[in-house]
Amino acid sequence: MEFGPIFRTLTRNKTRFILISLEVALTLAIVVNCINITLHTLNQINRSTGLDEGGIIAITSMPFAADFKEKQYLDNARKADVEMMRSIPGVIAAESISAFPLSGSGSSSGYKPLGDKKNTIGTGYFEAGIDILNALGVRLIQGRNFVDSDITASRSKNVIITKAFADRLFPRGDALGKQLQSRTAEYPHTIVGITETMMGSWPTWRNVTYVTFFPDKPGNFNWGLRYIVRASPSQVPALIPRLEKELLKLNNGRNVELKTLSEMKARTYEANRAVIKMLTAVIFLLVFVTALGIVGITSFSVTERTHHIGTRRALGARKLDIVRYFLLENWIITSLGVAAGVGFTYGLNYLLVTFVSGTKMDWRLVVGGVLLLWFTGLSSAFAPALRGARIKPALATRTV
Amino acid sequence: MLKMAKVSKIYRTDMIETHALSEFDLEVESGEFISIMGPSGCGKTTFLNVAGLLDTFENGTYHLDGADVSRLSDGEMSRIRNQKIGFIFQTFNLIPDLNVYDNIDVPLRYSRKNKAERKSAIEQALSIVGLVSRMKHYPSQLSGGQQQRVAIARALVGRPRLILADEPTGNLDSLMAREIMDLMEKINQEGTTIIMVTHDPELAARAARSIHLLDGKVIDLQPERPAALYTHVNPASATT
Amino acid sequence: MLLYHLRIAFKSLRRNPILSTLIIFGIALGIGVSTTFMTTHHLLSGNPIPHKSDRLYYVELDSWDPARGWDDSNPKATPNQLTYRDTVEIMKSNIPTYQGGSFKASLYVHPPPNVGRPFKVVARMCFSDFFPLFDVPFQYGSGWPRSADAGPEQVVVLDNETNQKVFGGRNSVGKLLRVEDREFKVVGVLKPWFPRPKFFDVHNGAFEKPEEIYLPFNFVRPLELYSAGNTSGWKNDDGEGFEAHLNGESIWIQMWVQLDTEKQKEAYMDFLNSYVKGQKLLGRMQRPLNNKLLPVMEWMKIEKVVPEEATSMLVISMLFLVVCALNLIGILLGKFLGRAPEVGVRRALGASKWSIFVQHIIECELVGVLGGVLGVLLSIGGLKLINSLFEINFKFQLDGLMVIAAIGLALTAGLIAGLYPAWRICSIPPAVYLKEQ
Repeated sequence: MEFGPIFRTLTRNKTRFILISLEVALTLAIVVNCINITLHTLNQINRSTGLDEGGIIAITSMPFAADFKEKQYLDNARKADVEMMRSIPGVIAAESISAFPLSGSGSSSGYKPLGDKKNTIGTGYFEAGIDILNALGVRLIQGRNFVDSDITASRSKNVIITKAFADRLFPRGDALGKQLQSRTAEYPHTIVGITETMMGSWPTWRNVTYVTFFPDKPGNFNWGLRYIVRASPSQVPALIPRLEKELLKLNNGRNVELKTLSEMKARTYEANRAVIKMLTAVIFLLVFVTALGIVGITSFSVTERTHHIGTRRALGARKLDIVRYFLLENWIITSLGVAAGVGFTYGLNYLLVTFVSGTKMDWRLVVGGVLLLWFTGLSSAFAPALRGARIKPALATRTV
Repeated sequence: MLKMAKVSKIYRTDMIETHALSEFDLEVESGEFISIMGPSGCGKTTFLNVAGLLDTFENGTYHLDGADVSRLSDGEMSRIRNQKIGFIFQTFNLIPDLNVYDNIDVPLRYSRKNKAERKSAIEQALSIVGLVSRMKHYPSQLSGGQQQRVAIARALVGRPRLILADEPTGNLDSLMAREIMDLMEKINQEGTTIIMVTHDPELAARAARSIHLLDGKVIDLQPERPAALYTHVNPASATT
Repeated sequence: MLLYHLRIAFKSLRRNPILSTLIIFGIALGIGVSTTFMTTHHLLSGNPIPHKSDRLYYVELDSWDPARGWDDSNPKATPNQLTYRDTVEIMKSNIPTYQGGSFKASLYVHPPPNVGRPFKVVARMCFSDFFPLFDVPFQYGSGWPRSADAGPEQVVVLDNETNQKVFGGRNSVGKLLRVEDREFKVVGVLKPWFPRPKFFDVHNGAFEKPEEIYLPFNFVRPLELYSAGNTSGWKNDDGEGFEAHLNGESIWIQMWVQLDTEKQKEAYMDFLNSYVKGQKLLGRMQRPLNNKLLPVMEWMKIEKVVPEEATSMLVISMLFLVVCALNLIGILLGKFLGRAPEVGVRRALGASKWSIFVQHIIECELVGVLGGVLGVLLSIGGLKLINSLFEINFKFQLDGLMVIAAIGLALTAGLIAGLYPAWRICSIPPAVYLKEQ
């Protein structure tokens, strides 16, 4: 092959080729890191919430009639709403709750094993009626579900927590039946059940899978009443207007708002999705710009060596040989860039992980990035190289 | 006009040193028309570059128009090239993007003359070479002889004391070559010193004095017998 | 001479239109992308009240758990809001020029039946000083007098949209509006007002719209209002019910003061310190004395108002511009060196090195300007795309400063990219390219 002559040419035009190599290196570093962030964010968005998002309708009832200020009236209204909704065909389960999972709005608190000296651990919590696990479609894996008698006036409650939270509190897996305290030990709660993993209110929170359910009659005049209704996803579009109509028919002293959990999730992840789109655009533009640069540089190489190519052709080089020469030259430049770029990629990743946030680089992405740039380099160099191959051998003998 | 004494020019690469000019002596009087001849690699081009202040040299002295120009800065050399020297090249070296008028305008631009001065100088130069009608043409629209005439106009326009011509007819057929030589003689007669490098003995013979270079040295200075070396050469075969 | 250089630069660009388009488009892409993200970052990190941001202070008192500070990772951090009881007490000071605790509440507005059903609004419960404190602009009327705070009198200020919705945009000052279960007299209607960020309350969406109606703070008790914003606590209330909530340790009120002089500031700090010392004697606030008065921009920084994503995208877009500049250096180098014979001729005809250098730098700057202008146009498109990605309450738009910054960036990129190629071409010995062409 022609490695020797190509290398000698490259060393004579160092600066220009170093520039292109540097450009390729930076492009690799930026593109691979952007892809890394994109994939990480996508994973975040697509990771299982443990909830049947499409089949869950989240209903907010905001009372304005003064009657709702009376606790008894509010309790009756809640009971009437839940019973009415349960009776509608297609509804699998309905229950009241204090806030909605994945919505970005809710309550959190901190708990630790009773008597433990360490700091409390943050958990999202929901106050809810006793059938809440069924309404959310979350499976109980240990212990028992709530019963009517769990709803008491006492500040100490029987609680159900997610397995993720249970394992964090009691790493030996013996959470069931244990007691929890908040900052002080005054009102300990007892773990009566453990559910499979699900997400709480804030999907981007580190502790999102730590969830605690308190049996209660949630809601008040100011905060309103909230319900979770589960149905088969195909029935949901028809159920939403039906439920809205029935709820207002049952009690007109309020406004109601109905959304699916997947709508709420989409709203919560809006910024993340936007970032993915912006990063994708930047990736495409960056590869495009680099391709432009390679086209430009190869064109110069060809123009500069018109005479030289003519001579080679006159001495018997085939068109293929000329194309191969320029592609090989390009491949060497790109490869030098890519080699430096792998270092840059890990460097940038280190900076991002240390100073902003991010995830460690997956080596397979780096390999993918290298292949992408090789491909970009070769395909960008191809057209100018072909132009070089069309140079006539007769040019060699012309002096001007 | 021009006086070089013991001028040496050495080209160095990684491996070899080439003495392009060694102990080179030459004196040219104001108003002379001199031709310089010699085989390839004898130092003709190096001489032109040094004489035209396009290149520096190692040893010796060079006086141009009474001033020592041996060790000048790049800026000073540029100024002298602009004001005292005109160049004519074998390949014309017109700037393809610029039309005839703008090409001739180039040296005037660097001499910071005002617009009216430039215009009259350009028109005058064009009338000398007889191309006033082609003012708006681009080099690619002109014949080789016309291009060289534009180049001569460009060399003339700044009213230089010295014109350096490098194979001015090398790329032209003999008819056009003759026209160019006529033009150069006319310019010389009006007082401009001309030094012309050529390897065409017929052309060299038209100069008042001919100098022969070999290996960076003047080997035959015979002002009293111009072109004597070549009197026996058949002119027809010399026109290559 | 400058004009001559410019003309030569134009000719040079016209000689190879494809290459020139490539060059200009390349730099335009870089400027377009970087300007887009520079603008978003600029708009998200701007000073919302520049003329007095250094005289407005956010008040923080350390009322948190004696056993465990507000932020485990920063022992110096103070809780980011105040309790109700502390707000009421420090509002008794007469040192600040203006002062006011406020919070966000969710209330029902009952318009006349012919207008429509009752609807929820987000209300700001605030003191009369709120309006002069933040220079809130009024379309009709004004805020309520200080005397209306204590009662409290049943007065309300509406934002422009709510006035549009309920009163059809007419001057409604003096009209009555039912909020929850009582009638309030409209005393003022705001002009459209959208400070970015919503600096007086950044905890509940720093880029949300301001509240829709404004009521005297002291309705918190008669209406039994809980905050509709962020509430944090470390201790259960002593007892049940609303009074226990008000007397408890949960924090939900944002307190701002305007202190015009250094002396005023010192006096107010003394006042806060002596208040906290007094509370310590009562057994509250047992953490080390750590009261803070934070000017607007410092407060924005502490609260990390600028989204991390905006900063990351800014960094990435600047790297993008660097790649475009590298690209430009490479192409310009090739283009300029390809012109060496012409430069040789110019040098022979008397052009100095400097003149050649300037000529090429001017060509680069011409590319920079053209690329910059095209880049600004591209960034308008880029911002439109970004606006379409978010359901936010405001639109990202270029302003004059950003256009200037974009052109400046383009000129800088052109200059930096041009320096090396221009230097290379002007240092070629003039003799070299004259012979061979």
